[in-house]
Amino acid sequence: MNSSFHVIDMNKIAHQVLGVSPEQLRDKSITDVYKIHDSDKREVSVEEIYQNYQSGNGTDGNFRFTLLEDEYDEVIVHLNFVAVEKENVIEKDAFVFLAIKNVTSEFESHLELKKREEQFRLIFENSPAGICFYDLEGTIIQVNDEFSFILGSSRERLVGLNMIRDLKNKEVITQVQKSLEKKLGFYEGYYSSVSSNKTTFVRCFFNPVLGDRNEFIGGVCLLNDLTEAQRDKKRIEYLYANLNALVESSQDYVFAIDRDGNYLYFNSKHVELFKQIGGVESINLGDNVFDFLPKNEDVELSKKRLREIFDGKSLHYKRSILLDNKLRHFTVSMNPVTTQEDEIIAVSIFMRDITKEHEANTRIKLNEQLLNSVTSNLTEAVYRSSKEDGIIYANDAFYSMFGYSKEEAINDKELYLFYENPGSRTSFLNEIDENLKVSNREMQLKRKDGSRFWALLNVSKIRADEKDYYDGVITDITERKRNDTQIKESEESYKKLFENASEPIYIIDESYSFVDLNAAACKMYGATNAELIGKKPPFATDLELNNPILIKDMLKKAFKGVPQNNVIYGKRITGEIFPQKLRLQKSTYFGKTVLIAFVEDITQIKKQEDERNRMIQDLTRQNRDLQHFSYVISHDLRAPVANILSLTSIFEMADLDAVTQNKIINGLQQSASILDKTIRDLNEVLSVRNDIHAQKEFIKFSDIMLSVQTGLTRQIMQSNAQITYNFDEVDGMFSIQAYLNSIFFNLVSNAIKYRSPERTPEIHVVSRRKLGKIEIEFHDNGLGLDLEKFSKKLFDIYQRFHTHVEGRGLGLYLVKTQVESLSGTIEVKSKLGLGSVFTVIFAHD
Amino acid sequence: MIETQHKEVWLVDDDAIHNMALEILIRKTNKVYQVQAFTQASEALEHLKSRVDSGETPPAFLFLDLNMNEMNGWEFLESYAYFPTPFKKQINVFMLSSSVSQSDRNRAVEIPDVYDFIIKPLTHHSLQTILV
Repeated sequence: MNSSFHVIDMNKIAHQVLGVSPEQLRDKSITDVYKIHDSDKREVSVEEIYQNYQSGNGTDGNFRFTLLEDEYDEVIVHLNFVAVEKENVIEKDAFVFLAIKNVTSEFESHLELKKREEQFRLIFENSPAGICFYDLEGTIIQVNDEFSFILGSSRERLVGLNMIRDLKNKEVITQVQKSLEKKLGFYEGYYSSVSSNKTTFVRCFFNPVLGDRNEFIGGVCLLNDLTEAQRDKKRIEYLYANLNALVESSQDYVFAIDRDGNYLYFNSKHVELFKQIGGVESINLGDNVFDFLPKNEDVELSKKRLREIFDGKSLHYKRSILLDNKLRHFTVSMNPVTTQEDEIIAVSIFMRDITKEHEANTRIKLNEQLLNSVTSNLTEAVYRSSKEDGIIYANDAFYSMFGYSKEEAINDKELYLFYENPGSRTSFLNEIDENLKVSNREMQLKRKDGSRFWALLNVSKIRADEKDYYDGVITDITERKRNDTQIKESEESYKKLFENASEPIYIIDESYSFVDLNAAACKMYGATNAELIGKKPPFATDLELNNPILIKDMLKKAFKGVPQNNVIYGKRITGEIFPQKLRLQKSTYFGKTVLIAFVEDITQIKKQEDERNRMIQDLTRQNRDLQHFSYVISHDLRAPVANILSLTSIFEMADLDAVTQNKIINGLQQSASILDKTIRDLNEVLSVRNDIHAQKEFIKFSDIMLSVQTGLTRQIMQSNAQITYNFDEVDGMFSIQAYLNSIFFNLVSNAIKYRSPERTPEIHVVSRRKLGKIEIEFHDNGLGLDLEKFSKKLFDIYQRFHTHVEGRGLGLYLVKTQVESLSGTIEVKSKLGLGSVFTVIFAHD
Repeated sequence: MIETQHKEVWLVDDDAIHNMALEILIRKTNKVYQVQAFTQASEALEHLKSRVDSGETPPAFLFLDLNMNEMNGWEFLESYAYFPTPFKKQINVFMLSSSVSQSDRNRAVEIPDVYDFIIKPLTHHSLQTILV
């Protein structure tokens, strides 16, 4: 409500009534032109009149208007108030529509009335506000288009509606009733139309309406749709709340002061800060900031700055403040706050704590220094590059490694300068992109002078600031590469050594499979390298030759690092078993743990050794035999001698009768004869031993049998012996004729000699080949022998087991001596009363 | 000196000539002995066994040859060891051998049942000392 009651406009009638032109009154208060007295001749202001009118305490509504310029020019008018909204101006509220009626004149023309009604209708129809008239009962008489539009209901439905009776909104009803009691009613808020259910945010004035003769005839409702306005208001409230929240939540210290330094605004952080630095307990709006500044603060400078802002400047500066013994750094922004009319009404001050950033910056600077000093002292080249920009950073070693100046290197966006060819860079980058990292890549790179060198590259892809970078370290490994070559050369020479060694050498891995064999090893096995690699070294599986547990143990120990040295039996591809001296040594071969095996094929040595052992065995046996022989001979030679000595001593005695003398002479004769026989036997036995080196020849067994049968014709005839033989499997061997004859003769003759008296003697001789040896069996069905009793002495000299037949006990002894001279053995199987089998076994000729 | 209550001497030797010579020598000592010769050791063992069984007095002297076919002197002694001790105490066993082997002698004197080891020929003089 315009409290000053300036005249905004006036119509013709008002002009006529008041007698002043609109120009004279415009923008002036009515009281600037007129003195107003009410009916009681009391001077009143328009305001009072309005207030009385509103409160309903008004008098009759007639007032005397007296021109200040001319106190005689006065007019008596009747004032009526109608509040009207000015279009789109909400805050400035309504102005008052003053209906002025000159009651000075009794004249009232009908025409004038008509004109007035017409004007009213125009206002009514064109008013931006909704207008509705209602009678004393509150029944709606008339509405304008705007009214029905705001409420979303047709004029037809609205007219006739009784607001007291039909409305639902109690508050509105109350306000309508107020107007019907000649008071002003007012409602602002949401209103739901009864007839259309449309909800609108409205503002309504309910005014009583007086008729021409001041009679109370009903009310008028002025309705404004404030929905939009309400929304705007809400938005402003929202924005303000947001702004406040923003400022509150900001890390910045925000406050605003006026020209004198009085607080207009501050956020809570600002208060906290001032509490810390100035010992301020609290700040209220209107407090003066200069009262809170610390003592050491240059107040004059602050004031000077404030003035400068009010002169339209903005200030930005940095401040460091000691807080809690720690230096804190701030940026300060001072800006003028202006109205729409560019009037500076305040200064806003933003302070931002940049201590952390300051510290971070300091740290970054330190790190940069460190990085620089580290990278410049490195012999490795360190760089950062990107696909787009090429080298972004590189240390001194980088430039000296490639021989480019910084400028040259940085200008080579594609980095092709450094690579052997463009393709090698592309593929290298692709690899890094794929794996994000490439480690220990050996690559040949190019210097400015075109020379190549071997380098070790470690590159990582790093994403920073939305860009991909390649950070790399390059080590010049030319020297190492040279060493590698030397190593390779020495490896090659070792390989040659390995290959050409006359000693068989092979390498096996931890699965005991061949990894490599030299030529000598291949030759030893009788196979090619390709045939053997991946296979296990072939060993003899014969348990008598190799103990598989020992071999496994040997390999295990060797892998533990204990060198092994053993004799085992290997196997050639042909299946031939051969003895080998195996030396195992743990080593590495192309990074793998392996055993290197040095092999010595000791087939020959072993053969010689076996020969020697056999000879030793033979000699030992022969020696034992000879001892026995000498013992027996000493006994058997001495026995007749002792008898002769004894008998001759008796002979020398006196008183010997003739019978005794005869006995003694017989005894002497017999003894001499035995002595003779013994010496002959001795000769025969010794001759066997001397004939060991006689010439060997191929002798057919069947031939021997024929000659034996011939020699034994008499005995065969007498005994009626049946002699058969079978030499189909093997008939003959290289041997000494005399011995083989003697062996056959003695065994066949014994078989006849010790025949069973109960049956016809049957003698069968058969030869076999068994385990590479030749066996000759002499079967008979004779007396047999109690082997438990005699086996030990069977082949001893002068042993006789059957006393009923003539024999000197030399035959089997001779047989055994001869068999052994031929490197053979003799065995016997026998059962007393059933017969015997003598088996002579010779090693293969 | 060996006390001789019994006048029996056994000779165990497969050499008949030796037995004959020894028998003559024993007779020439003029001591009344009954001489019995065995050419097989096993036969002599059998006779000894029957003496044990019958309770007859065993021979006072037994001359045992070492080298014999079938069963030799050592083997004879192995069986003889199992004879009852009181019985064996009545017999003086002398081992005879034509061999001059020292090892035979050593082995023989180790056997408790053997009184002495004599290398052949046994002379008249030594018989005089043995047969009291």
